[in-house]
Amino acid sequence: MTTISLPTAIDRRAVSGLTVEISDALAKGGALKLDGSAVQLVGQIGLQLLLAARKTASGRDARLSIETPSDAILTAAKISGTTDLLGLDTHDAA
Amino acid sequence: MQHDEIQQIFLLECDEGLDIAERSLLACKDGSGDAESINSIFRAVHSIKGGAGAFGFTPLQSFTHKFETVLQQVRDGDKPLTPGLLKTLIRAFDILTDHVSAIKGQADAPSDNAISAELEGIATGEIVPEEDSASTADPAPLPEAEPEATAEEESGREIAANDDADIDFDALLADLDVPESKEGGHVLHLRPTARALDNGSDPILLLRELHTLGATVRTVDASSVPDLDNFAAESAYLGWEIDVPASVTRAKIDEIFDFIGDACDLAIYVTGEEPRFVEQADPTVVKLPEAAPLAPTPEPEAPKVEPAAAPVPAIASIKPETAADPVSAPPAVNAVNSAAAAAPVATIRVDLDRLDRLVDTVGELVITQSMLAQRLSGAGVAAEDELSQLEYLTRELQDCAMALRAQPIRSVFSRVPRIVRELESETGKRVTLTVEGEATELDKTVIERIGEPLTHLIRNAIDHGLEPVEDRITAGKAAEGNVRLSAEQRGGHILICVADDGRGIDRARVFQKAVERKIVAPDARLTDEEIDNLIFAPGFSTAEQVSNISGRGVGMDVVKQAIQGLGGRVSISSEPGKGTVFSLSLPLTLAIADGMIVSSGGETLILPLNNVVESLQAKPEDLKRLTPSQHVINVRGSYLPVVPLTTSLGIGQIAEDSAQNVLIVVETESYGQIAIQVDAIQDQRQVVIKSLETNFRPITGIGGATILGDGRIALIVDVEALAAAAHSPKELDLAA
Repeated sequence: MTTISLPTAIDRRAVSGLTVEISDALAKGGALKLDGSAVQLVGQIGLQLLLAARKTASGRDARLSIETPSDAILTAAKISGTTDLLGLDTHDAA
Repeated sequence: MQHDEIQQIFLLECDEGLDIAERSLLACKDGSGDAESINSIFRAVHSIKGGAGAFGFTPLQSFTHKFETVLQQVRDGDKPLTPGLLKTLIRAFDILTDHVSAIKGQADAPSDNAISAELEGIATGEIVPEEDSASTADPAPLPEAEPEATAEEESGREIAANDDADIDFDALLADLDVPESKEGGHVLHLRPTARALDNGSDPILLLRELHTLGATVRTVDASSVPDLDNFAAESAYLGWEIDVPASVTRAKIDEIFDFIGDACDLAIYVTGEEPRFVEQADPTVVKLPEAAPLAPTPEPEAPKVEPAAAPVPAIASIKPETAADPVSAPPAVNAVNSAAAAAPVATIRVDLDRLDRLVDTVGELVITQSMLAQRLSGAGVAAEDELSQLEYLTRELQDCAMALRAQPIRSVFSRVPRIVRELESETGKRVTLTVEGEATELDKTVIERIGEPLTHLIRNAIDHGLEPVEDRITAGKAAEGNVRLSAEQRGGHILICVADDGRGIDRARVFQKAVERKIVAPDARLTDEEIDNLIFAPGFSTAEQVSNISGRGVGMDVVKQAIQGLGGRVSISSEPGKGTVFSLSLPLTLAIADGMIVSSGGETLILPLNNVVESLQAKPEDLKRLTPSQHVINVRGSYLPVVPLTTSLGIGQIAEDSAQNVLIVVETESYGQIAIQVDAIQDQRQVVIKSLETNFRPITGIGGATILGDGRIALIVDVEALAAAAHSPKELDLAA
């Protein structure tokens, strides 16, 4: 199992590196965990990256989960209506 | 925008429409009109009708409908514009003006039964306008202009207006009504574009703001999100359908998206009228369960890294048409957006209070600049160039500020044609009115207060000045009398003239009436000018019969008082058999005046320079004592009363040797010249007038106050009141 720690801010600067990192990790197969505990800033770009990662995993029959999502992630997901699409536990939602 | 604000705009549009319609009607009357004139009248009446309907002014709407019907027939060539029909249209216009006054609360609703019946009869062909029934001559056709029929008209539908600049008040009001509804809210279809992610911007912030207001995402469309191989960080892939509760006004929603511009595709619908957002077979399109609005979410802690990434909406352009899908959006929403897009941007309306505050502040600046100049000069600081530049800039700023309050006199002059029409009808006289200088600008306060005296002068010119038609023909004049109304700027004043080519003032009769009314003594020897000025005496009238036009003997007195109240003067020039000219000289502004600074009894006072004729050092032999406290002075053979400023205003004692004092000869409207006795003349300069009524209380003999360059307050002398007191032994009520 691979775990990638998401950065404090999932912004445009962070996204390009993360895209490659997550894509490579998914290519290896197996389960991929994204540790979201440190994330303090996530907007539409970050949400889109997480959704793209989920879609890629789904297309490759890989498992991808967001573990210990921070309040920032949960809030952004709730406000944007993407909690389910990101596979987040609605009970965790702030 | 509130209901009252929209209604205010409508009322202003009414005024503008009436102005256009009247000018076009008069152009038709004097033969300079063409088919475009009729188009203009039609457009104006049609616009007023539209607004009247939107605001529920039913009588106005009903009347304009009848008026418009006849205008449309003329416009379409179905009815010729005969002299008789033109007269009817002009009368209808006058009633329309009354209707507009009524909805403004300025007058009672007019009785329009007769003219309405006439318009309806003309429209159906049952009535032929009065003058035309006697004549079979074909009317001269109007020069053609481009026809303005539209497809909408041809289809028989009501149209909002032909003029692109017209405002659709129905749409504005409909928009106003929506957010006030407690029944439903709005549904937003929001799709950020790639631009929404530029420069650190983030549409999630918009969602967050909506969320705090109780909005919830109904559907999220993530069907465009690619896999990571095709993912581009700079692209926007999400779209939302958002429920906004009724408690959030449309204005608030607009405010949230105010700075978004074309960074988002946004459509706003009234709940229940929204089209389908997206097909939801795709699993990445999630229709969220209906839920109670979520509690406001606390702001996340600020990121500790990447401070430059803090997202702020940074797009300044506004793209109103993105607010709604032109096909699917409800008409009301679209109409508002198109109205906003078409809104004129050349002018803005500003609260008068704000303008007045600006003018006031600039006045203070003028005073401060003057104080600074005096202080630096006293301290021997050589800063002439800088002070000169500062003074120039201050004056420029002052001129600009005063110009903001200036309005063209057109709004006053525009009432006159109707007055003339009514007087023609009442007196049987025929009048050609010539109006010049309508664009001349005057201070708003002067504009507001000049209407009544001007109206009376026009009435006087037609009622008393112009002869009856038969008398004019006998005198070898044209049957039609001429009245000319003009305005022009002359130096620091505006000159308004009302001239007629009538019989002129009958001075023998005026003198006789003045004697009968004990205004002058029978043996008084008066100049022509003095006799002419008798008509301004209170209670004077030469009219044999009191009419409702003029002749009550109060009008000309009121005219003079009103003009003097504005700091102006009235003068008369009359030539027997050739006519009379009344000239009103008015100050450009009421806020600034040229003043002569004098000292008297230890006080510094200001004499308005426009009253000052000359100043002189009195010689003992020039003064004659009438009573122990009253003197007169011989000025080139004329004896003028000497009015000591000290005793008149109760500010001290007259100097023992009054011959050493300075006398200022001032001209007054009511009492001719008087000589005001002061201790010394200090200076002459522009002063900013501060109202005593506003800042303290009115004081007889004092017209206002000002602040001098050294910071001291100086009172401005009311010369007229001083002269009045000199002619009655009663002392002025300064201490009251």
